[in-house]
Amino acid sequence: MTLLDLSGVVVRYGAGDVLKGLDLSVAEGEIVALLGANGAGKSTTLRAISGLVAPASGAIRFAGQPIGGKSPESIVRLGISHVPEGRRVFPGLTVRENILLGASNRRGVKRRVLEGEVDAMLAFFSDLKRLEHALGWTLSGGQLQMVAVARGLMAQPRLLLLDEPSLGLAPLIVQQVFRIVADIRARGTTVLLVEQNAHMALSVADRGYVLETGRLLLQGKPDELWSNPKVRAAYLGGAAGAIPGTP
Amino acid sequence: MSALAARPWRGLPAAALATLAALVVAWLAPAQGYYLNILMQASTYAIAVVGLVVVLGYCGQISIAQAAFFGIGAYAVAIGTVDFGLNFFVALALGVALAGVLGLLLGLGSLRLGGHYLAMVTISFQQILTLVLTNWIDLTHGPDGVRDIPRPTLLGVSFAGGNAFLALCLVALVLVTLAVWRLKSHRLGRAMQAVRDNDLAAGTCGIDVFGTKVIAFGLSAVLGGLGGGFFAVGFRYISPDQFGFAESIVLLTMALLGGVQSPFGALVGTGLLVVLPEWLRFLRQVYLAVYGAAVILIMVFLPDGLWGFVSARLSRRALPDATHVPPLPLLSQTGRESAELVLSVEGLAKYFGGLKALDGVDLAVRRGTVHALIGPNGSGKTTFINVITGLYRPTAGRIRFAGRDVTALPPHRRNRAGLARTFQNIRLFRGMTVLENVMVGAERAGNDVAGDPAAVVRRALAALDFVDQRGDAFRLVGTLSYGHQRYVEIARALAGSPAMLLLDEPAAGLNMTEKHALGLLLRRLKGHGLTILIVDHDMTLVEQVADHITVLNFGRRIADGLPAEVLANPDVIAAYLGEPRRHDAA
Repeated sequence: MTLLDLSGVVVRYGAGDVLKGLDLSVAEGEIVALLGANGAGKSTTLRAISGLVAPASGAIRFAGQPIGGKSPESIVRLGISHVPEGRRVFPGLTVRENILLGASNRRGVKRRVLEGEVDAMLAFFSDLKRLEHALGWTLSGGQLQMVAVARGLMAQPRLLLLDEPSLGLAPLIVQQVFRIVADIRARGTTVLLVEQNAHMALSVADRGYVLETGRLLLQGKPDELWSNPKVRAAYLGGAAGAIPGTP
Repeated sequence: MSALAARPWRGLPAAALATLAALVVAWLAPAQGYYLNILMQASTYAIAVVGLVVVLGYCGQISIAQAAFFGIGAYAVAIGTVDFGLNFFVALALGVALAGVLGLLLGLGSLRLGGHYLAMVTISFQQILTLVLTNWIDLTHGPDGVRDIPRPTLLGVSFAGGNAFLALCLVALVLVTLAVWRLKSHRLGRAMQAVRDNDLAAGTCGIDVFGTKVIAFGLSAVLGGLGGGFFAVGFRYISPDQFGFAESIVLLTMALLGGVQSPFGALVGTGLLVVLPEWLRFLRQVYLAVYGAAVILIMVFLPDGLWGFVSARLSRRALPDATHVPPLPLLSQTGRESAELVLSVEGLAKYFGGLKALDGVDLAVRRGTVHALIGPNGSGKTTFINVITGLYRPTAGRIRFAGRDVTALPPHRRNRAGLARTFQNIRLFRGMTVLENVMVGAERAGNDVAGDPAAVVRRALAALDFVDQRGDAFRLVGTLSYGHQRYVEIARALAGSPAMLLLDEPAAGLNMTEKHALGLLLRRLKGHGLTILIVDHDMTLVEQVADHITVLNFGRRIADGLPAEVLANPDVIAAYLGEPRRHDAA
């Protein structure tokens, strides 16, 4: 079943079109990767879906319902959670409090249950465990990124929009983050993932889209994209290489 | 018009026309009475409001004491001419100088205070001045004020008549507006805007942040005093209540309403707030409510002020400049690695309360090499760069750069010694164009092109050429994508001809192709002899560029050596890499 569907979406900042009629769909339970060069419109696509920018034209449907132009709050309530690029962690709150805040859309769930989930999240990100009571402003850039991702996961959305979750993370932690992405899908969450680390993104994704200056260039399964020489040359790094995790 | 042309006459034709218009207005104005007063008030207030554009608009420091400086100028002229028989122009010069000195002193408060705390200090200053004017009766005549202030004569021309003195005020206003407008694209004005947009980055680009703020306060106070001096003679009577806190708020509102980024905004805002109450007088009892509502509506819907709104619609986007410029001087050098140490750090420690972010780190970078600093998130890498560039004071340890001990130097002095950096969470000057950002880097004190505006532009364009961002030179830097902003930051650093470049996660946010291109760019820089310290988590990039790797964990050095050894070190794999690097896959 199609969970998210974009057709002909145009987004305009000032004079220029950042998205020039984008078509894209995500089925329930999929992990879909969105790839492309800087400035291709990947982050803008996520911002349009979560209501942070209103499309100038085109339709965005979530679970059959049109959501284009709705407010970010109402879109969150429908079950879409966005972990934006750049960390935006509350500096005066502890790591634990920051993560717990991610569940603020889940009214009626017992605090005890949520605290348990925070514990699970802290166990996931082993580096955060020892920082549980550290205040946001004392964290390093990479630690902030982990908190932001953990907070987004706490919303237990139907659709999770992840914008560059691996940005600024140590290799060891990047591996953890992608394990977690695979794990949350196993728990029933659909994921739309913007990522520069194409190796990692395509190793967990079911399908990928490649954007070029606001338009769809290609789509396909990871191995199709990976074996397309044009894509490889332009977006996935000139160096030859296999998909990680495959022999 | 080419950005490269030096234009020392810039704005002068328009100013000459404006002067002519001012003379016509002054000539047509009635010799006394209501309309003359309105014009006199608007022109003298506007001089003070243009002063606020310098301190608040350009430098981003809030001052709620402009009426105090206005009062200092006014009282200096009044007391000087009435009680001491001084010539108007001598008294005016004294008043302006006194206002300037007090402004500098107020600016000194910005050493320790920022934001609303500094605003509180300016309010206190304002209140103290009101008390002095009211209570030091022997000097100031107290609450009665000073009356019968004489109008001057200059070179045989009498300014006793209302029209003649109005003409003098308007011409002064034209000159002040011209000077402040030109200041905006002058080196000092750019430094102020850099401080406003990002004071940390400004310091590491070689700008004396504190000194720049103090000068902005001083200049703003000078213009306040100048306006006040004209005001006193214009109305021939002054009293303390004309220079109170409420007037400071009025002046601030004028600046914000018109648009604080430009002296033209100050003119528009002042004109409007002087004239609006007069227009609305027919409303009688509800006049104040309507007036207040109009101000609120303009503030809410035009946050950049009236002029900001208009100029945003009028501004033509400058075309990319295709003029050929000589490449960066660095590119004509060939470098080779040497054993000489550019940077040597011993026992460096930085504690934040109980947190030991750095705990006794030794590190040595040889000239002409690329040295990578890696480690888990929170291991102290960014703290290390912040201590090296002077943003943090170390708790212990010594830093030697280019043969001298820089441990105690502030960021801008280290930059002058040849240390340039980029930031993990990009710190560009967001209110400025791409070109202006890079110009700030090029015009650092001590750089070969500093002091020659045309050469600064050429150097900035050369740096943009090097990172292939020339096409966006005239765009506001905030409108560029993340990756392109990273390149602009690198260009800003290179434009200052550094001896060493520190890069904090330059590849974050770049895709693999872009990372590869960045790696090639760094190899090129190394090939020309630039010494580089790089922090990054992308091991492919680190392997591509690094000659030497140091690994931190929990603020301590856990490995140091050649890339192949370090990346195979079991401690490094356990703490950081997670799995060994596989070279067969790449």
